[in-house]
Amino acid sequence: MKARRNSAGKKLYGPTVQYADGTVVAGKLLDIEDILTAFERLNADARSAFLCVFAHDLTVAVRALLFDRPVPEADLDRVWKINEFMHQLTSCANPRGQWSARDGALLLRSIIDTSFERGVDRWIGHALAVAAGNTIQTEMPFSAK
Amino acid sequence: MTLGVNADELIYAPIPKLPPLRRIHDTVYEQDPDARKSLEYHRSRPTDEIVGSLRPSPGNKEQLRVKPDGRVFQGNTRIKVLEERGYPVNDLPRDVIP
Repeated sequence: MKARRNSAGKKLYGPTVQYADGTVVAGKLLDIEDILTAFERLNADARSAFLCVFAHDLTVAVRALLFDRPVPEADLDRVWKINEFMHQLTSCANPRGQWSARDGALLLRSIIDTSFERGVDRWIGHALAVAAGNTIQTEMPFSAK
Repeated sequence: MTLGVNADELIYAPIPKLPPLRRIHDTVYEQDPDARKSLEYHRSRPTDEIVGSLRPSPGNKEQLRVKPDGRVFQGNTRIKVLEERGYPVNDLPRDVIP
């Protein structure tokens, strides 16, 4: 059974890339359903890798949000939420844990849904694209010149 | 076709240049032993491997991530090593943090 679909109609995008000649290639639209379905089909080791890459990518979001002081209250709230995501992701990634493939997909779905509500969807889109690009052998959600 | 101006009067639009990269961790290597170890590790790696690891592509999990003003939020140590080697780091493609 597939994870529930609360984020229907909302969109996530992969990384935007800028080249030395000034060309900017906007991030590609992510197919959330495809990625979550592919995630569920990964073996336990690959799922763990996916979740680790996802969480690691979010640490860059925290850097970027906290670097310039003072930090606006809204960005502190975003950091708080992203930390919650990382807390859950790293628990789920533990190879000695009890999370099934479906549990992992449900967690990702929940994080995606919450990201729209909390204004962190651009960070979640980036992390999802990077994690998928590293672990899922499908059409890659990356921009290319 | 005559343009009506002399060639030396033509104004050429400059090729847009990206802001130069600026590392945000400049002093961390003296203060933090872990950062120092990371620097030593990357100094042991070949240039093409470092450059490849910074490229925004599906196989990379730690590509160069940069704010529009050039500040580096991912890839600081690798950029430092490339600078030490004289590599033109400002020509690298950047994953832009909005």
